[in-house]
Amino acid sequence: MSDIQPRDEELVLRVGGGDSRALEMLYERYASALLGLAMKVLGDRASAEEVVQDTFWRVWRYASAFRAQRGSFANWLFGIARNLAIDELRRRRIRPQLVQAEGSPLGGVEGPTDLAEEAWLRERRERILRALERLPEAQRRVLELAYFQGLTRQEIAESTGEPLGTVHTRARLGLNKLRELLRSQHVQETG
Amino acid sequence: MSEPHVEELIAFYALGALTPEELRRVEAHLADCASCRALAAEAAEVVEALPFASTPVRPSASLKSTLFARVRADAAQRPVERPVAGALARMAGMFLPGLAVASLVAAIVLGGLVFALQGEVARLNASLEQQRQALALIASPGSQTHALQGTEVAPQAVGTLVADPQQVAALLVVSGLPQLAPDQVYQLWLIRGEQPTGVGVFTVDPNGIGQLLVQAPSPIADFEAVGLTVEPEGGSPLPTGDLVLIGTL
Repeated sequence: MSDIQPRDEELVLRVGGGDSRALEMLYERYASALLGLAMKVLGDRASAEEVVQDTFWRVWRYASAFRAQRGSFANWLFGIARNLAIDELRRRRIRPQLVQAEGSPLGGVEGPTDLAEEAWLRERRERILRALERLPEAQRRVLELAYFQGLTRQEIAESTGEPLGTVHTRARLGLNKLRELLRSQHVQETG
Repeated sequence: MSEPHVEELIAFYALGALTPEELRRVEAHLADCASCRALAAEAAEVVEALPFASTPVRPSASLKSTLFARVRADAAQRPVERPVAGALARMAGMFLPGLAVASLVAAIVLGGLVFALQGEVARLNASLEQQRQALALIASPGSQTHALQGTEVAPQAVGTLVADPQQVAALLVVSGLPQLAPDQVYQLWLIRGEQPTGVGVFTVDPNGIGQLLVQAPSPIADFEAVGLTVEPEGGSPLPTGDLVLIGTL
């Protein structure tokens, strides 16, 4: 993020005070990344756009609920969007409907990439993608099914045909390995 | 199938992929277990990186225009922000119109809250943030108020729960509650069938007034009743102490 741009935390404080211009700046900063996340989860653009709209509406209404000491604004924002998208996905599993899938959970969703993406967002994306690439396939799959599809451990065991214990182990090892990979990248970049 | 140890569930807790029953179990355990809390924090740190793995997609122009038309319409109905010095007057001014359409009980309780806050300007900033969230709930068109009555343990106590049945957020405002010992708290429970879910703890000020902003595990419409009990500091996984307030949803 450029130094001359107001920080997220400053903007969200202003949003809490009713400043819609501050919300617009946050929208410009994050809407593309949020839509990417929602499309990865939901697979269709119309529902994903609804999630993005609902996410920013909640930021507008509940900005004052954000607590900087509990984590960054970006984590809070992506957490809201991910929960909304997973809720929608779970509703669909209960009441299946025809959805034109445009992506798979593992392949990501192709979209226009000629975006003036914030440099730090791109760095974060490249860092996690590099780390995910180095993760054993079976571990990555468990993490992606849980996070991007909201599948419970039992559902993952059913869908992969693996014993529950194996699913547990893969999730735990996957997160541990991912942490090591992210940390070692960070050390390489800063050291 | 035998129940897995909570440690086995922590990765899925961090990944946001537990069933509601598992989630309650893990949260109750984390409240008591520092080593599992540390494991959960480590896992959460990794999970926070995952959303960035998706490829950004440019939203349509209509998404932004629809959203901001709604935001601007909402902003036009909000009072203009003023500096903190005018905060008490603002809180009183902001609450009363909203409460005209809410309930008289809430008006009395919140009026008492504003009074109790006078002279506590140092605490005001923190309170103000809570008030803003409270106001968001009170001002929400879908919000309803539910009265809580004191039990024989605290007959003079009253409470109001403000919640939109379709949302998970709720605001509890209470008055007339006894002061507790330093190692005790009041704990709020949302009840579905026979199953109480603890949704937060708080204490009351010297005037017996307190409030709690609640994030329920599922929409408020999922619950049938609400109760407040006295619990040991930090709260309990299930109610153990005296029931002081009760109400239906």
